Amino acid sequence: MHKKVAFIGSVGSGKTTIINNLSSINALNTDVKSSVDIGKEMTTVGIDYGHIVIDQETTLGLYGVPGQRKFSLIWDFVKEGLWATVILVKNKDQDSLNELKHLIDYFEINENTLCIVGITHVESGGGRSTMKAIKKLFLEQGISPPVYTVDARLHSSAHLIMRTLIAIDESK
Amino acid sequence: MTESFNQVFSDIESKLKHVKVLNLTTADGFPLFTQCIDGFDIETDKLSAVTSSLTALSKAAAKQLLTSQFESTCIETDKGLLYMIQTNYQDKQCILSMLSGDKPNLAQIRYFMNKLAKYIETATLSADK
Ligand SMILES: Nc1nc2c(ncn2[C@@H]2O[C@H](COP(=O)(O)OP(=O)(O)O)[C@@H](O)[C@H]2O)c(=O)[nH]1
Ligand SMILES: [Mg+2]
Repeated sequence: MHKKVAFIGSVGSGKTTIINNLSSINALNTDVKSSVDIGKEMTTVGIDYGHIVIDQETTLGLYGVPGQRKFSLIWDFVKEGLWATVILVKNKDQDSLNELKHLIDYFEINENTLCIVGITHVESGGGRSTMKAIKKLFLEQGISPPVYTVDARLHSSAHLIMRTLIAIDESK
Repeated sequence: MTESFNQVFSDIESKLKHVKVLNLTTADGFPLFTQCIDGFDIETDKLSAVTSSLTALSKAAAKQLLTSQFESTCIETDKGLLYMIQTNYQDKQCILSMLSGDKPNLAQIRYFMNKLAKYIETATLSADK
């Protein structure tokens, strides 16, 4: 079965990085040079697409969206038929936190959605205050997804997130 | 050479029938200039974001499937078309797009858009009318 996983989160939270890192094929890349200062050179305007083979029966399609709200055209077709959603939040970044509520609403995340939250850009041992803020925000929406710290650039860390998702799904 | 974007549009409008909108957008989807015919209204931000996404996707498709250099994208509907072509404006990667209504002539539009995209690479445009 081919399962569709969405990676959402604010600009710079690490969506493109984690998909490039996880994918067993050359990921589809639609990053262009940013014409405004967003704290990095390139930004996604289309879609990131990658692919992982879990076992003989299961493959995961990894879909990363642009972080900027104006690209909601892409959000609309990524949100259809999702098996799971990975939300990335940049550590100690208020914009990234502020965007969460909007994303939860837009992607219609509720207690029945398979969802996991990853805090990126964390120095070793850090991320505690961000974790607290995220949990509080989700709880206000009546949802309590697992929240982990993740380094989107590290293969092992990124894979742990995917394995956790699968484990949560299987335990349901 | 400095010309206003409005002048460029008027020029095109007089040569091409049924043109509704001409838009120049940065590759990351920020509108630089937009001109519409009187009485036609479009959300510029949305047009810019959409042309930016579609161009990036077309480019990726050209690279992965056709292994050749991307040039332009065209969406045809029963009532018109949206034509998007890559260009550079003041050293920024940009997209020039045109929306056309009733029975557009694709060959003609492609010809003008190619010419205009080349012109824009050397031009300095102003927004005033
Ligand atoms: N330190 C650190 N840097 C990261 C992490 N994830 C991504 N980055 C860097 O952050 C920048 C933006 O990442 P990108 O994947 O483009 O973000 P996107 O906008 O969500 O697609 C890149 O330079 C990455 O190398 C992380 O977990 N830790
Ligand atoms: Mg990205």
